[in-house]
Amino acid sequence: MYKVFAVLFLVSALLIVSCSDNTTNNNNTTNLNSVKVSNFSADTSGQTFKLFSFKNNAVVPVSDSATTKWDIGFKKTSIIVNSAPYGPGLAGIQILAGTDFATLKTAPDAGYTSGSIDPSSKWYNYNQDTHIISPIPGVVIVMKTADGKYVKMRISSYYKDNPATPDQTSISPFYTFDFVYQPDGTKNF
Amino acid sequence: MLMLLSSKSNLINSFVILIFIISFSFLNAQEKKVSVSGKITNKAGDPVPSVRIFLADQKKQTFSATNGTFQINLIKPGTFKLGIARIGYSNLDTLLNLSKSIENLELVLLESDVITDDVVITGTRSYKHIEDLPIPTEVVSKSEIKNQGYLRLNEVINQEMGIPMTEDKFRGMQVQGLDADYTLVLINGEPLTGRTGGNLDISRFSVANLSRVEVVRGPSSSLYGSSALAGVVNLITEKPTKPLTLNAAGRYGSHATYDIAGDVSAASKDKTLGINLFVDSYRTQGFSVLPGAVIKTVPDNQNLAISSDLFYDMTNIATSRLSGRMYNEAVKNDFWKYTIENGIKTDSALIDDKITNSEYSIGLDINHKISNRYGLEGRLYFTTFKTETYDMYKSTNLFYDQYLFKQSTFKGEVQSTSLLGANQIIGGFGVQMEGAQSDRIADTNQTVRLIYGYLQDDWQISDQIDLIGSIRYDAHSAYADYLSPKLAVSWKSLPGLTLRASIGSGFKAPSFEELYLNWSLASEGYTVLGIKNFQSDFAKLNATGQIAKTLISDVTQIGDLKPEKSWAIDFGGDYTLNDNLDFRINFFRNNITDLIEFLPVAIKTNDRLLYTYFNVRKIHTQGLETRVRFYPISSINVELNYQLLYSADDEVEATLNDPNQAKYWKRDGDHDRKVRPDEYGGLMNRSRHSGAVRITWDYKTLDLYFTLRGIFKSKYGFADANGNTILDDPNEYSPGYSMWYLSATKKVYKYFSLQAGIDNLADYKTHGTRLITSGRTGYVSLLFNYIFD
Repeated sequence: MYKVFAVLFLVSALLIVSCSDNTTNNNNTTNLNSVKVSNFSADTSGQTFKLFSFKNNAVVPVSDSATTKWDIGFKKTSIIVNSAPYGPGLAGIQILAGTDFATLKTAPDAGYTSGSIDPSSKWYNYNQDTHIISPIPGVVIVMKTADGKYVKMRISSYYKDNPATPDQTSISPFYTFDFVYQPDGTKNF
Repeated sequence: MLMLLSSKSNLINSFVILIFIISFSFLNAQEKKVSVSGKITNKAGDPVPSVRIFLADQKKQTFSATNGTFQINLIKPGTFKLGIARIGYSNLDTLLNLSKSIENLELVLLESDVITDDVVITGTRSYKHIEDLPIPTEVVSKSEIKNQGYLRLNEVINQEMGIPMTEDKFRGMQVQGLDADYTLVLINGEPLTGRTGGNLDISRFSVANLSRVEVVRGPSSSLYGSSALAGVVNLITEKPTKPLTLNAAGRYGSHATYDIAGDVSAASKDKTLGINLFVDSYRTQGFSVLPGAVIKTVPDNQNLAISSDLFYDMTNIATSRLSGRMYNEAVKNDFWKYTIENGIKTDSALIDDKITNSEYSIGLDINHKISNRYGLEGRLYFTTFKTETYDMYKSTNLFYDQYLFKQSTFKGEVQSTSLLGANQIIGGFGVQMEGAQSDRIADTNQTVRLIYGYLQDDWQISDQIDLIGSIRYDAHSAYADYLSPKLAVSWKSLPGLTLRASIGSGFKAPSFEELYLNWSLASEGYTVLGIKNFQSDFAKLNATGQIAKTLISDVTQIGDLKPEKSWAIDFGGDYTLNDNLDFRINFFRNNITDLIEFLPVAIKTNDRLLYTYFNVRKIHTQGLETRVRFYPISSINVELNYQLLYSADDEVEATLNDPNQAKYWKRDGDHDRKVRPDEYGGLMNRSRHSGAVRITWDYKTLDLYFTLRGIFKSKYGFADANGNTILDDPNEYSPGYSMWYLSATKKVYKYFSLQAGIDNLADYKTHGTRLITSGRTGYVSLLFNYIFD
């Protein structure tokens, strides 16, 4: 399914890029497609992270962890990106709280951290009574990929099949997230 | 000649009352208004001050002066019911022909140790008539408990007073919108310690032997110290006055639930010696929501309670009471244990879970009346509580897990009561030693000490105005000292109307867990440390390389915990329209600060969090409580209790009102947006509207007593569903509901009564998948009551 998505995405992205050359160049309103990834398993039986490439919308094998083929890695609730100390890439990540994913037009100029999310910000709430992990509404993860492209991302669920109200029988860690990848190197979404 | 037309006692127990009319005389009066004056003395001839003298039909009253004299003026001539009441003396209720003024009416009051239903002790730590009390208080009497078939304390609190119960694992009472651990539960004035996870399961208290239950609303920390923020519930048993009383009751109901209770009490002829013994045995098999499920929703529970009191009056020296109580409970259930590995449940096994709770207490209370105006009371109290969990694999009977927590409290207290003019002054001090033992607390054993003192002045400023000020200081060895003041006033402004107001502060001490916990959950990998051992245990974890990263800037700053504290205002009043209709209303506001919560402070190298406790949140609750009592005919009583409640977390409320806030957002379609202030539903588990309705019919000609009771609750927040932690979304609510109860009691033979009832008439069970009750249940009881006079 990822491959189908990836092909669709690439085709549409190419179409958009080719169109936008004429119509929306230097304009903040672009028509990049938002891609939904469902049931991305971040369960790592070992100590490694599950790696992912936004460009290809695909899982990257752990054997490629020393390359720039991957952008982001998940291990349970921990998120890393491809830059020091985890990888050789140029990636950066930051969390924007109180932001609407759908209408965020521009990635911030600064504020990206290398390797992992600044510990002072968080993308989920943990309920100490039910032990449920809930992504925080209004949180948008904005990042630079391993090769310096911009991505905005919104995590919707940490549980398998994105249940409306996860409970203790819900199976984790299975991410559902949306992302918009800007292949042209600008900060515009 | 003064005509004494009739004299009858209004005591529940027909105790002997003597009235001596020593002298009287007439005064011819031509004017339309008449007056009555006189003097009140005791048997020894000493004047008795502060006796309330009232003309019931005229709604006029006064209090006797220091020399025992009294006067009531401006009475329209006629025949009136004259009442005389003073705590510690028998009440007097007589008809008085006042066609003309009366002077020098001399009345002699007899001392009594029978407490009538309209006298309460909890609000002021001294006996006081309920209508004189500036502090909102309710009483449920023995006859109400018996007639309505109440078995356990939670039923009385919920159905009789309309105080909502939460549907957590522990059915906790929620007084003025505050959680159950903010209400102090006492037995004869002594606190109960057996709390599990901060909660006291009030359904474990049998009400069969209680002479009454008193509930005080609003903070009472100024007298009782910790945990009396929302209110105080006092379970009261009393001194036997009859040569022999035997009571027995047996009940059988749905889910193989039975309760057998028996009490026997006896008093010596001169009533200087009294003894009672109470035994209650309860068992329920519990039930499952899903028929045939292995795991019960309400577990199998078997418990036994035994209590006994010995009363002895050393005539003219002191009265004394020695009390002992024990409680033993075994709760059995099964649960599944499992771990999730690679998204798959593995290692699952059925565990046989057995919990044993036991509680023992012993108390000695000696009350020395030095004079009519001065008394001294000493109290010693020891209580110990133990909870033990033992888990085994169901299939193999091999050990899985166990947990033990033991807590003991020893308390010594001295209190003096003195009458100074129109002031009744109570002062006391005490020492309390508490010890806890568990392998989950630091060094497995901890002891703390509390020293406290309190002072109260109850000042009867005039016939209409009563002012009570009290203050208590608590000095504890493990947390910051606390001073709790309270001021309360009542004003009998118009006939039938009493207005009340009070302001006070309460506190809740950090628990043993919050102070000394040292616990790692093996399956989850996280660690929680108590505040007192945080620094040393953190240093150990750090030295052994178990800390990966700290989450707060300066961990060395952690080290102290303050009590949670509250300020509360109550005001309202009672209005009695006539004998058939009365109203009560009380407005309240509680501000609670320094709420204790556990928060992460570091990430361990196993990727799990390390927690400790902080004083962080602020909340408030406000609203009104109201009660209407109506007797359409004398045998039928209709009572309505209603509470309106608003609550909020102060930080959430302030954040939502900030137009630039980025903290509390929600998903709306495909967009994320700010939560609007009007979407905030306040604190979880609280209904805006709640209460109880009760109709009782005392059909005396057939010795029948019917009750129909209902409790109601509007929707309430259940849990956050959209990830922003607050209550803001329609699907985060549980729907409102009402539940109805019916019971009938019939006297069948001299000493026997039959009782039958149906609980939850409409068979209300669940909200979606969540269980509320087991559905409709029924019971039959046989009651035996024998009094030898």
